[in-house]
Amino acid sequence: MKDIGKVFESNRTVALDHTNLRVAKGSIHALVGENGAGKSTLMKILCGLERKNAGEIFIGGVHKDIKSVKDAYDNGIGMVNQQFRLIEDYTVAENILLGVEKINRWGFINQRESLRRVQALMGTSCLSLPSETIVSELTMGQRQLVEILRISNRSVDIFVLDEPTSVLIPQEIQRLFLIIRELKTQGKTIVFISHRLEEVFEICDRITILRNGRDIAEGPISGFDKKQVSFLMIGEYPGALNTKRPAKDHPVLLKVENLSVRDVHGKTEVVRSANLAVRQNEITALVGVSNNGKQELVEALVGLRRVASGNICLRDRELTGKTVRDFRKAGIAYIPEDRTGVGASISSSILDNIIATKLYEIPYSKRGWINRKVARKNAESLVREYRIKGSAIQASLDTLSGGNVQKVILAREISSDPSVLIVCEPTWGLDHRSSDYIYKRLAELAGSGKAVLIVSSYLDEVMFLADRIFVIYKGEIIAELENAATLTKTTIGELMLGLGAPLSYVCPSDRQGETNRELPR
Amino acid sequence: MMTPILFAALGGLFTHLSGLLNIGLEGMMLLSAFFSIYAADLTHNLLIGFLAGIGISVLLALLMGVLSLNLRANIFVVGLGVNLFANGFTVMLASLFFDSKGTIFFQNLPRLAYLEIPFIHQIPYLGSVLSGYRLLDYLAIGAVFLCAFILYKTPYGYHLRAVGKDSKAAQNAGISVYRHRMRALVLSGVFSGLGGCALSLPLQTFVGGMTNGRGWIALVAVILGRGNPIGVFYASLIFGSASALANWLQASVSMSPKLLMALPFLITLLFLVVKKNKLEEGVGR
Amino acid sequence: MNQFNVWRTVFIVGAALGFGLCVILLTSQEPGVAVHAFFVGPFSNTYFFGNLLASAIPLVLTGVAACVSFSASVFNLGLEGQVYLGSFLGVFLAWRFETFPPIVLYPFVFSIVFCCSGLLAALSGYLKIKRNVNTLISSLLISYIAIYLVDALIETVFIDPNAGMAATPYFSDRFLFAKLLPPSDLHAGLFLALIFTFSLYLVMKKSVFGFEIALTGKNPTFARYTGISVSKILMLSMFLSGGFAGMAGMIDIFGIHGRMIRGFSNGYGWNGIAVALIARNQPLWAIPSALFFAYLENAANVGALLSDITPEIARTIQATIFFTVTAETLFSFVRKKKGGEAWTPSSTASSR
Repeated sequence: MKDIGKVFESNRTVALDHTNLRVAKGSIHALVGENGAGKSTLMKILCGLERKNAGEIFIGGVHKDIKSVKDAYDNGIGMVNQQFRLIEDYTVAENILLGVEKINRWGFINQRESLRRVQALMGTSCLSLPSETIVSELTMGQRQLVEILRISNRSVDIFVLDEPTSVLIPQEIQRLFLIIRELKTQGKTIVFISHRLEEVFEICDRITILRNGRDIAEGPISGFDKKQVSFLMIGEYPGALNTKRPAKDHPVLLKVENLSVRDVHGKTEVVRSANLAVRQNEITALVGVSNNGKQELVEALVGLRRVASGNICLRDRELTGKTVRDFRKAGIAYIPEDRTGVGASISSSILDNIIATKLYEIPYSKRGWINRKVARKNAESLVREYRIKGSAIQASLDTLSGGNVQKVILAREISSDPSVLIVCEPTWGLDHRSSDYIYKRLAELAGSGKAVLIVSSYLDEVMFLADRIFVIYKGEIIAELENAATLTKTTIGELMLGLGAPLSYVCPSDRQGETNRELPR
Repeated sequence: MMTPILFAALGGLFTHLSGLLNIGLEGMMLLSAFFSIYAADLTHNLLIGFLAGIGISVLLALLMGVLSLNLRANIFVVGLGVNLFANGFTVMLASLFFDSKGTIFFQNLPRLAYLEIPFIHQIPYLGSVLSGYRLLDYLAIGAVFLCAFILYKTPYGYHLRAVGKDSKAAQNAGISVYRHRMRALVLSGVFSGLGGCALSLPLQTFVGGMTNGRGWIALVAVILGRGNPIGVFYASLIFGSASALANWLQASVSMSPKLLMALPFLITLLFLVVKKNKLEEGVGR
Repeated sequence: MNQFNVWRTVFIVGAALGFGLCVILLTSQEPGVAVHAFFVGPFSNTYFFGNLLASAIPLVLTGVAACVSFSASVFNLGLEGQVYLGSFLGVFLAWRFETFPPIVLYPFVFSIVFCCSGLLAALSGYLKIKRNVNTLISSLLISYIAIYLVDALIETVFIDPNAGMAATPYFSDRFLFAKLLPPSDLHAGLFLALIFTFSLYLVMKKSVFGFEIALTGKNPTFARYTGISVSKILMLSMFLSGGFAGMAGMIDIFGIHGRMIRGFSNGYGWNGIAVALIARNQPLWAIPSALFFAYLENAANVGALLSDITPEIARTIQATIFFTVTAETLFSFVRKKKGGEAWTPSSTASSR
């Protein structure tokens, strides 16, 4: 890909600026960069999901014009997105064959041929999945396999994997690497997009580094070391973050006892008799594989989901069954995983987004009538404090960049002075500097007598931040772990998968005094 | 009886499955009812009548498509516009061409064929229930099976449903969301056109506003039928029977005709209330 | 509305009138007279002009009713029925309580009518909350049922045998609103409509409640997340919407007709929706928007009176406006996004 340019109209950001990428056939090529550097955009252009504004694409030396997903497939390029694009209601087989179903003479679907094709595919790639299962019943790791099979089915030579490991647990990551290596031996080319450097160094042959929409370095992986790559990605040497917190037994602020939550239809329990305690002055983490009740539990903790049985208490005040507003008034703030769908209203103004949760309270409104002046003043000071850059406060939220939108949400939730802050995927989509800022803020909160609950699928982050880790599996909290030096990601991963001792155990606490941790980069 | 509703509902089914909210069914049916009978009368040829009716509906469907898919207009609004337009336009044309705003009776219209199924027709009781309807009605039932077949056994059907379920995923698989939606709109035009024909031609009459909410009922039938042709068939059957019941009651019981006309709507409403409507995640609970 | 919006609206108005012009030229034998009658007629004397304003009054109110529900992203399609029911109820109460002095009767009847038509609309909201029934459909169905019911009553129990059409007897004269511009129909209800509209404007702009409605309309999941009770907002916005619709019909009756006439309010609801769309859901803009619609209606009637064109033209032009309104929406979209997919609400997700 040569001199690719791309500008996004919606927020006038330049995503790619004369970007180049050269991938050798049969190699595993890493494309790294911070969040927002342009990696996904570049690949989306290659795969027909976005249109470039400038530049050219050459495949095998021949100039190609890729204008749609179909063009990409015709040229042997397929991509597995970070968020899987599978039809939940269809079976594995139907998804794999979507778009290129096997038909017989009369034009309708040939079931036998379809099945045969799917079996053949699974055979050649040494993967096996029950082909008649409906996708919504599969785990994330399995869904990824379906995606890979789907693009294999299109006779793809270039596999683009966009942040494939972000939804996987350690064991699944290893399985993925096996698959990638197998594909390589079959002569396929892999483009591996990631910002997790240990993985990149483990599996890739060559690397291209993007920063701010430009490619700034390229070469065989052996020619780089991690520190160098970090430096190139970020533009500076990453400092070691100090999170000093005395290790003590802190009082419990938010206590969850025997909580059960039913699913939307009210039939099956997705959370079963869960017990959780979030302590003051601590950062607690909740980890679990998707679809194991993690999201539902969190929603129950903020009042967004009905509780079937059990209770939630904040400082001995019963909150079960109360409204969302009661939860907020009691001092619980929540930053949801779906920032723009749940956590903000992108068509509303920045001002509205900031004040939405506190509008009914005294300084902002009196007896039902809004005091715009006070609202503006407070919102503007928050914007200054959190350094939210971009537009005037009356401008609509979608004029801000992703990072700034997150800051707005953060500002709103933290400024409400909560006793407990619940954050899901704290650094999702953020670049290095913003991530550090969030970590600092969270540590500050924990240090000043509040409690923080993070829900993250990024185990490195969890190990770095959390004092205590709860693991949820099939709706039950099966382990409560203290974050000791002996705790490994693999152990957590095993628990998340349901292997390993299914009882509450606490690692021997051999930490004394202060801890000085460095986030592995 | 239920034929116009069934046709329109099948049309609505396609757009529904592609993820669009098509409320222009009413307007398309009305325009087709007018143009089909007008053309048939003009040329003394039923086939031309059918083609004219379908043609005008498809034209409007294309308009809806261009406005909402190409030009990003709000499809709900466009649909509403189609309905308003059809209402005003048909009455205007009726008064211009025939100098009448009420019922227009076409005397010289060729009549629609009836069909007697050979054996079934002989069975004493069932015979009169199952046989002896117009060709058009049988066509409608046949269409149900045709649609079911297309939707579940052909790649096109899979792709269409995929577009409605998750358009991003479909796009990722190389399926053109735009094209499928456009096609669905055109199909809805074809079917509502048929529905309109089925409304005016058998009666040899055109009345201003004769669709009388059937287009909306068709939409309800699509939702009641949970988005599959057989379900839609049953739903249309229910509505058709409710209307028939209302007519029968009117003849045998001396109730205000208006109350009876309200009956199908009431039944529909009760159905919707009683039926288990799929809950959405998040909002509400 | 910012400057861009104003130009867009001018474009719509222009396009619609242009279309009307074409239709007239095509269908009239004496185009010159017809065009003059159509475009200028409504302003030509106090009678026509007064009628123009009078016919705008109910449209303002139904427009405002639609604005409220659309702001909350709820599709209240039952406006026709709510108008009709409100009117009938108003007439009925005016008979029953004939002996009341007007000063007492007015607030009494108004509040009952507001509540009842409001409840009719809120019923759809309730069904949505409890049984997840699509409000678009339920409001429509309930509206049809209401209309037929009222019709049945008018045609049988309450019919006036002396009237030449399906209508009820008149209620007491003293309840009629004062006429402002005789011999036209313009009545004091004008002021009521303006007061209501302005009050709603204030509420929507400056109150917490108005903020909550707007936010719920923009992103209900977020609204719920901030602590807003979405179900409450849904019900209340439907209630308000229905209430205003009922008032629209009632004010029309008390101002002009003095009795309930079958079908008198046909189109008030649908045109109200169009008014709201042109007004971009801003209550204050519903006033000029309604005036424009009323102008079209009157232009056609006056035209039919004074020349040879048919009044149905108005209906067709109004519908054309609908199309151009959607074209208006297209302008905003073309500016913002390029590429990607069309906005396609699935029938369960966005219509509530």
